[in-house]
Amino acid sequence: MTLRTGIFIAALAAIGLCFAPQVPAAKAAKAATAAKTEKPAGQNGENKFNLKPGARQKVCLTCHPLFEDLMKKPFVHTPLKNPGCIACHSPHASNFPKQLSAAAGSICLTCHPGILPKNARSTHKAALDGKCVQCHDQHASDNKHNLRKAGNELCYDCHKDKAETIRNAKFKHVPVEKGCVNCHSPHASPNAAALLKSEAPELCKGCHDTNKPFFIKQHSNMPVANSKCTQCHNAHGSNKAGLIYDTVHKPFASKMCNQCHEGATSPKPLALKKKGFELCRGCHSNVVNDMFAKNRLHWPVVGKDGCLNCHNPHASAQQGLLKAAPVQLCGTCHADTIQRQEKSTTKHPPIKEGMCTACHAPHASDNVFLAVNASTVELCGSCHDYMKHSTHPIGEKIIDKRNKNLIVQCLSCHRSHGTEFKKMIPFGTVSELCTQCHIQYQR
Amino acid sequence: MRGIYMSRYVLLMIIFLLPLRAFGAEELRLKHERSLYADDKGVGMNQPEGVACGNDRLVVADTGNGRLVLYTIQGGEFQGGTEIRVAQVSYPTRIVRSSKGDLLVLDAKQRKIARLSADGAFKEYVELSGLPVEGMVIPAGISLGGSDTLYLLDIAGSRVLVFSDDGKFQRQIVLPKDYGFITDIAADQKGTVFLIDSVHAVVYSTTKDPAVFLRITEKLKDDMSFPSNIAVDDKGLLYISDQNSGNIIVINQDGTIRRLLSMGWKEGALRYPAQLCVTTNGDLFVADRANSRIQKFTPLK
Repeated sequence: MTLRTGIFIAALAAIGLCFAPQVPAAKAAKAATAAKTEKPAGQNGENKFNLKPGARQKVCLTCHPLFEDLMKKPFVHTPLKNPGCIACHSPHASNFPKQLSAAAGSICLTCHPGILPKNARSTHKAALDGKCVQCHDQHASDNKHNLRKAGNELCYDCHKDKAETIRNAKFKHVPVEKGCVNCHSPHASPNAAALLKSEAPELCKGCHDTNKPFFIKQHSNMPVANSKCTQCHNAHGSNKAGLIYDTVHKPFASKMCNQCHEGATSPKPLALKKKGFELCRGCHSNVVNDMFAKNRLHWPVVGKDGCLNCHNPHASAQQGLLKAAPVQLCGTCHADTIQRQEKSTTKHPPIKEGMCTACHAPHASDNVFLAVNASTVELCGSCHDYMKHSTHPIGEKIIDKRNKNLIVQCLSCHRSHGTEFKKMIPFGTVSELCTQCHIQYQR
Repeated sequence: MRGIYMSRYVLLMIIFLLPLRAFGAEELRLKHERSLYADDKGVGMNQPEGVACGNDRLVVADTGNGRLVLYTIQGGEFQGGTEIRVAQVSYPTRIVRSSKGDLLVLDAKQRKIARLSADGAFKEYVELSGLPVEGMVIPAGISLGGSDTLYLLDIAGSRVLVFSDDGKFQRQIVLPKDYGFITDIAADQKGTVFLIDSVHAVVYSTTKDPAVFLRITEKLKDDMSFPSNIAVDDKGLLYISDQNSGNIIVINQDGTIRRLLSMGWKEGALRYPAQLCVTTNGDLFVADRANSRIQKFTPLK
């Protein structure tokens, strides 16, 4: 590069920097600092803008009187008290709604920069999305930290399923009753998933002494001090004593640990007696034998941890001791299929409601896609009854004009997990779909 | 002034040469050549999942019909289409052909591998004995490498079992620790083994160490939805059938990834493709499962 070229590039960069827009958040900080340093009009003659007395707040209240009552609340946002409204709002004009000095998602971070640590293991979506006002009232509140509601009620507004579990549980977990923040960090957690202050069992050990004889006895002398408590216990409350999840595996309920484990007196008490599905076969031989009589196995049944790939061996909040709700569970491997449904214009209720097993056999099947019925028409017909009396001709005798090896059936025109088009059809328009076969009508 | 003209030249050269760098000479395109629908008696295929090929023969695992169909290839033309029904094989899903012409067929229902003669006569089941860790073996995929070494993906044992051509156990390779779910295996003539992970859309291989599987790709979720089968040609090109998108993914040795073909009913399009087979001529055969046919593609360079 010649000297001349270098000078030219440097000059361009300098011009670019001069014209670069200022970062809104930095602007807001500048405004707040300026407001703090400026004195009211007439005081020491230092008010270079010659502002009226109370220009930063009281003047605003003449047009926004409702805020006067709000500011009488016990917890007023500090910058609103001093310097006043202009801490966050630009008095003359702004590029942002409500004349904010910066975007709503970033303005709070001007004063609260450490809310979301860089290496957080989990973050609260509302905080991550900059929706601070979902939980906090930006002006004033009756609650500490300017929270919109007191205690758990605030969290329940969004976490309705958890609220239901907690409210309806026969056996309550005291720390939960006292407040979600006993275990969860509201903004982010650098230590654990699900905003937990630390992972189980460390978090639980904060209250539960695993060396106490009662604890050891309750766990049948098995060395569970380092096991993950939430595999068996529902920390939010349960209808079973000991906060055990509602669905319990029989040997676990009857404390017959050595049906599956080597047992408390063994050198390796937690070790399993057999691997994978072979262990479960001891009691569930019918299920395993049925599985192996089918043409196709669902690979997770026999691979890796076998049955434990999908089932929790002790207790679960789900029916059938599933590790998670079906959509979530099946989605761990079939993420693309679940995503397709989520993006689909038309939702297929069984998938939306997590009823994957309405169409698919989870263990094994004689049919492709582990379908529960060899005939797609019959399978879909179990819900869509109208197909049996008024529909486009479908069934074994109707050959697909596109391919003589195919019959016309539901999947000839629809994709069961959805498409980007209405009615789960794989083409943008109905005419495009129909003219795939009825080519005489193609334009 | 001369300097300014030179700079312009360099700039123009960069602008025009960039696309050539991105779409290099190794670009592979596939041309649909032929689709096979039925045997010599006109009986249509039903959800075939397996295909084994050579320059002279093509064998189809017609899974839904519980049979094999054998074609001969002469001068590029397919002849025959002979049905092979063997009582010992009821649900063939994968098929490979040895250098001597024998057929090794994976029966998904019995979870056994049957050895058939070139004409389809049953010889024996491959005996899975002498293994270092006993226990049920559940084969999910098979491939033949150089000297007809058999590589068997055992999902129950989370390993690949290696047998010599006379059926003697040689060694095992443990599956990688962080895999999602491995659904197929391919081996090249040098004995390098490749695995496809459907869940993470990752390819593993033993390229660096014959005893260890290492990732040779990142998670390719943007390129593949749910890859199910893998094949390797004699130039080291990897072919992967992406079941849920209907694409064929080709991965070059330098890691270049290409998405070919698309989902559909028309010839040349695929629906839920399964096993792939590449001949030494570079012809690609795909078991187009949901379209109940086998499709042949030829490379265009």
